[in-house]
Amino acid sequence: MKSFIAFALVASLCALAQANEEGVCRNSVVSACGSSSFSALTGFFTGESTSICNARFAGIESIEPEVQAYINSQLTKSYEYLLLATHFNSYQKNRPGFQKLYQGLSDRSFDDSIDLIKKITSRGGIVDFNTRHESPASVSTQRPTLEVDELHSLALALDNEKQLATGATHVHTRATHAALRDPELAHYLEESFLPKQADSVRKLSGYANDLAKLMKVPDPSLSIYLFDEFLQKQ
Amino acid sequence: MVKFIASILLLAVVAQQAYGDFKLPKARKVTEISKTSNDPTNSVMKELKKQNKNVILTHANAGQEEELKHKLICSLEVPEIPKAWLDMKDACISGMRHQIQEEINASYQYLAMGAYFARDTVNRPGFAEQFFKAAKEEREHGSKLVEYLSMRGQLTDNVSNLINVPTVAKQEWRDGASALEDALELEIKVTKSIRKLIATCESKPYNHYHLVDYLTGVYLEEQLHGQRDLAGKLTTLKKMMSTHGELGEFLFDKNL
Ligand SMILES: [Fe+2]
Repeated sequence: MKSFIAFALVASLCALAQANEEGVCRNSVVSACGSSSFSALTGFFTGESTSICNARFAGIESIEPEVQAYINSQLTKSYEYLLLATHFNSYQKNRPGFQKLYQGLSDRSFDDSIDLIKKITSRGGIVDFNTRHESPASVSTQRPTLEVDELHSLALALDNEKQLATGATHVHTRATHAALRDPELAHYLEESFLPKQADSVRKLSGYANDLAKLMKVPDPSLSIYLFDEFLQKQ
Repeated sequence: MVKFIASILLLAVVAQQAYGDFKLPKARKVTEISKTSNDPTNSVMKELKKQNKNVILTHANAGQEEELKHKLICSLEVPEIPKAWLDMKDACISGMRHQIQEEINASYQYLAMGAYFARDTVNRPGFAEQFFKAAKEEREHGSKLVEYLSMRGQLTDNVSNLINVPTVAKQEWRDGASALEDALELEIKVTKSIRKLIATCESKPYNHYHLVDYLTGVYLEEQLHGQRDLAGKLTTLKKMMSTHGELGEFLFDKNL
């Protein structure tokens, strides 16, 4: 405990050196350290979300609910893609290329969700998996019918990818235009999400257009077979 | 260029038929652009008409658009093949579907644990990483069971409602020990659920030998080792917590 108090003191001295605009954390440490009981200190440093000594700064207040909504969107889409991959993995569909494409998108969305969780918590935010805040960054949990043919699935995936890119763009807009701006989060989205999403949208639009062209024949079964083979090699 | 626009429009028509969410004004805009592009073969419709004349596919907004006369076959017939290899029984299939959702629920619960311990004011990165890893593993367990059903010829329909997006029972914990305790309880619940599934799938009159072997050899194996691991960690942490409290948890986290 002693070493911890010492650490807190060092931390508060550092904060002092930085001339923290309000010094709220420092003040709380000062008053807690003067208090007669340990319990005054624990309140500030345990996991209570009301702790004054936190990592929240810049536009976190306005951006937190948007990121929460966006994390839930990514998770929802991750499972939607998983089921789309499953649909193409049935013996009646038997399209390993399409399965691979959608499984990849599912894994990506899941990994991105964890990445976003780490980001928002690193900024002093929390994640709420249960409340679905209404935002352009949210998607419906109402799942569309996924038992669709190959071309429809590409159209569905293209729409999904655009929806996710639009969601990230919305969060970015909030980060750059809210009263309190958040360049750090905006930069994170610019670096880790937006370019990757632009690529993904572009890729799917290319696929959809290619397959649509190849299917302009009386019997497209061979076209789809070949296109699936192409997807497997991607 | 024309081909590109043609395929965009074609796709828009196809997608609109299916989802109705492609905005028509956009599709019209494409047509306008193609008309103003001074290309003599600008009409996408004409090209399509030339190719397929047998079936008339009326555009959803025929009042404003000229009629499209083409046939695009998107959905291929499913041919008849022998069905005798499809030998999974309903009770076992629905048990599997239930187990898949259980694994996904567990994944979500672990995600919530990871998110809690990753918080700035909680700051237990060791715990957070362990729970994120568990969340990934549970998702993997779910998707491997899904793949198993596909391998056995299932999931040719009713795929859309196989997994629902769950909510989580808890999003905050008193301390690391209480989260480990919840994790152990969660694994106990999953183990029970797998045992029940095994019982269902091996019950008379039809024993799903292969699935039962898989569930026992892979899933139960992982459950039992996982439970032992959590029980050991929880015990070690609790020993330190009783006298060293916060310092015990701090050190434990760094060694996770
Ligand atoms: Fe599991």
